[in-house]
Amino acid sequence: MQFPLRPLRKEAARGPLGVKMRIAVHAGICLALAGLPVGSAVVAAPAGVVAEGARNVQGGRAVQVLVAQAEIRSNINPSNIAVATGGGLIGGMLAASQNASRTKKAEGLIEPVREALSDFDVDGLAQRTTGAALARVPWLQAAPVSFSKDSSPLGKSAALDSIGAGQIAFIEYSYDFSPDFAELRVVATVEFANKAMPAAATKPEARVSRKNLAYSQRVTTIVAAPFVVDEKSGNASLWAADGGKAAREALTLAFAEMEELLPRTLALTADQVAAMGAKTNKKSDVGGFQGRVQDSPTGETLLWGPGFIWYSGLN
Amino acid sequence: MRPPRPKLRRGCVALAVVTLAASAASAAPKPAQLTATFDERDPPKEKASGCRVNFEIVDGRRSPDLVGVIDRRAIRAPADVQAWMRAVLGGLAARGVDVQFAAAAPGTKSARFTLQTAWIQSTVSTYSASVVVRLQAEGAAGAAVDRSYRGRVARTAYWSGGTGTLQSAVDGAFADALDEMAVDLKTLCAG
Repeated sequence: MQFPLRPLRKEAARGPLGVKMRIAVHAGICLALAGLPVGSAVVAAPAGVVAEGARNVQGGRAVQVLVAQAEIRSNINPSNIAVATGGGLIGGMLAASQNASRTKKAEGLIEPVREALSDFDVDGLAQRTTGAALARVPWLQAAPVSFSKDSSPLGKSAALDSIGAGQIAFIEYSYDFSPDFAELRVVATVEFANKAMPAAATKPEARVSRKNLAYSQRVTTIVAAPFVVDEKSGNASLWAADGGKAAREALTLAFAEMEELLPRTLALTADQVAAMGAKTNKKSDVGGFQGRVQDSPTGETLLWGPGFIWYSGLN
Repeated sequence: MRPPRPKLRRGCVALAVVTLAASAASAAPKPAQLTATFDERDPPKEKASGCRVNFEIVDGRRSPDLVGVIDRRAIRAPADVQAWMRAVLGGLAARGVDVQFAAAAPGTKSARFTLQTAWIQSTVSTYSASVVVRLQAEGAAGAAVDRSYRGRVARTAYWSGGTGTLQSAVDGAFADALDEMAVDLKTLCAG
């Protein structure tokens, strides 16, 4: 009697246990390969503090102020109808339609505020604020400051090539209203990008991708309207009233606080950041931003998100 | 029982394709380039009113090369602003105003048209375009127009956030501004 050894082995390998093992091995390899880029993106994060040794860079550092908007932005609470209807194409289309409707309404409400602010130069205010803030940072005060509205990765990469410095500190401001028009918010994102190409990078814009940044931090200043009513249209019209007086004051106050918080942010140490983010600090939520409550000597609400989140009323 | 290898191989390939697509999506997007054209979705059809206006076009924007940055993608403005604004002002013809850009002929009003703002932004799945233009014109007997006009429009991007949708949004915002401007120009001509 002949024993077909190989077929038996094959058969054994195709048996229930063998199949499961193969599936497990193949799936493991697949997931490991597919997960590589995702995993590396999650792991690599820029520094949240400027270490003392990183304050001076070879080739010098320049500053570019970015304001990638022409007027104050409106905002909406995104529709959750897609989730409520169980997702799918219909749910997605319903959500898009609802979001479009909300956007149109918000854009209509913000129009009088934009008109009232038409002579209010936020781009100039952002540049003056940056200049005043950096004057308080000894290792940045001599850096040349330029301005741009192109905050795209390609735009930033072009700036790295055209500005003769080894590193650029991009300070990008955005300003908007909360969806209910109860608050005016200004956000400054500070990012340091090196002119030199990172190892293994093939495209110039890789220099400004998050994982290759030398530093990244954010500061948010929020000013609440003193007149908040339940209806967003009521809030919007009050921001616009009297030539946009409240909106002008809120923008001025929000940028003035940036002047205080930007130097403070750039001077933070790793220990200070860890202490502010400690779980022992109570969590709070202001103007749509979450963070841990910090001591505030001047009485306004101050959170750490990470990144400072400052909240004050307009008196 | 069929061996699982082909299915697994197909699954693995599909997963790899999805991963590569996701990686490509996270790469820096190329700028979108708007064209120096003006195409209205539903233009008005007013008859010529006999109002003829000769325009001088001025660009007063702070960043003439850019009309927005959406999802890390720069939206580039047409390089030739004169050609672009001529196309936009051509939309006044459908509103009863005869537009000229050459030396003013007798009986033609002269106007200065300044493009102050043209910007587009996204909110969730909607593109919102807004424009601000200023018109300065003088009519007979000391009548004059000197005011800014604002135009805005929102377009739902759904899954096609392409250049066509962006162009349509900007065109819609200009059309919105032209509506009111045409009324003032015809009043000026009539005065």
